[in-house]
Amino acid sequence: MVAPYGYAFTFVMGVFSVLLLGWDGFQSYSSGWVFGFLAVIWSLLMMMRLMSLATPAREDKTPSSTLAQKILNSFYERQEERHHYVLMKSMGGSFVLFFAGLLCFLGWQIFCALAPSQKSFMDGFMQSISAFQDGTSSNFRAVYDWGQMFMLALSLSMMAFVLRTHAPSRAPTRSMMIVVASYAVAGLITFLGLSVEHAASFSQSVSNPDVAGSGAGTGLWLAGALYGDGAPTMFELLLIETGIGGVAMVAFMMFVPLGAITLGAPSKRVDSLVLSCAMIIGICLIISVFLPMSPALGAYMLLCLMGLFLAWGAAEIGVYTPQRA
Amino acid sequence: MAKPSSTRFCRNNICVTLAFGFVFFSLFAGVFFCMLKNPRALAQDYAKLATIALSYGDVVGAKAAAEQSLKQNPTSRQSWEVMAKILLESGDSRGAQKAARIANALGHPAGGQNLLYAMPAELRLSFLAMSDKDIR
Repeated sequence: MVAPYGYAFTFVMGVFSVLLLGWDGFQSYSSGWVFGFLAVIWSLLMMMRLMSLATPAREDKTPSSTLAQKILNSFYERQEERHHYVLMKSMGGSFVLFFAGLLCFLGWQIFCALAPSQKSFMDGFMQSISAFQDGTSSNFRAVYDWGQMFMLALSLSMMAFVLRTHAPSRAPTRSMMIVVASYAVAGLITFLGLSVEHAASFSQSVSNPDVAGSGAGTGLWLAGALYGDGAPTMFELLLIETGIGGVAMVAFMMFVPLGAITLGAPSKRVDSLVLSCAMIIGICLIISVFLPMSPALGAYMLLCLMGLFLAWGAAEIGVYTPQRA
Repeated sequence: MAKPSSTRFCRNNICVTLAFGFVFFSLFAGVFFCMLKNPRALAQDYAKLATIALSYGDVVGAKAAAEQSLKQNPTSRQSWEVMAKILLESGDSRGAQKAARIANALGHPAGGQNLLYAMPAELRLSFLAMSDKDIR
């Protein structure tokens, strides 16, 4: 039996993840655990969801001798069929493409980290191995940085799966899509309103004791006295870190859900409200890729992704209608 | 003929088994990652240790701590500044100049932004490729 609070709980944990990711940017060096914590949260959520979908609705196989028993058995059977349908649809379809894209991107990132600039891959790899063996350079910082990205990728894939399984519940999906689309538009206005140099250093300004909580923030803001310096956008970061190959892989990963939503539109599986909210969220997400990157923007992008995953599931899985012979 | 139960299918399905495997892997990886000490925090601690050692006149100990700090995080501006001071104290003015130059370059952007992505590309790539010889 699927717990009725599963949907709301998942969404609350999603919002908690968004806040946690944003909060991480306001901390100094001590918040690296956030990424591991996110992976733990989402693995527990995915485990609960998998168990609720794969566990039989009836443990005892009571023979259907009475009419009431027959009706109950039929109900359980249909519930199991529905769970099976949702489970198989959530793991299949375009999710396979998305997951494969994610794995390719992670592999490509390791390749790029081991072979920076003009060095060949084998040179970089062998140098890293020998440095590790000699104990001359731990290179642990680079591994730790990459580990954060790996944890985030794990969390994202599990979040995509869990939200996709919840998407066929039409009523809550509609309301959640409205909420996420509203926040996506409001967030986009906020980030566009902050000028290029201010958005990047917003976290610094907030963590500055002279500004935060002293009531002088607004004055400083209007006087333009916040810390300012240009920060690269997500697009530029990807281009710097992983080259055109990495950008192409991320674009592919982003367009898998967007494409599934678009292709699902004519089939009437998904209602127009969810579709229009998904399009708004998708546009916000694409624009935010070209805005100066900051931790707050990263959290905003995670919120947009939540809405996108939900709409993706709604478009691809749709509502289960039992097949009648 | 009886229809195969969907429940039995779910239980025996390889996809479900793999999904559970993936979940357990993520769970353990997440717990392991939570227990790791952030190298940036370690570098900061070593840099503080080096500063304290230098204030007590222990140049050798301060240099060892600063080297450890830079090994943990070669992109720490604070560590390079401390290293420049130590090298100056020990009479290596050329090395001190080099360390100060690196610290200055790492000063971008203003306010000691600790986020690595805010660093210019050429700097980041050169530091990733940097060996221990460059520190000495």
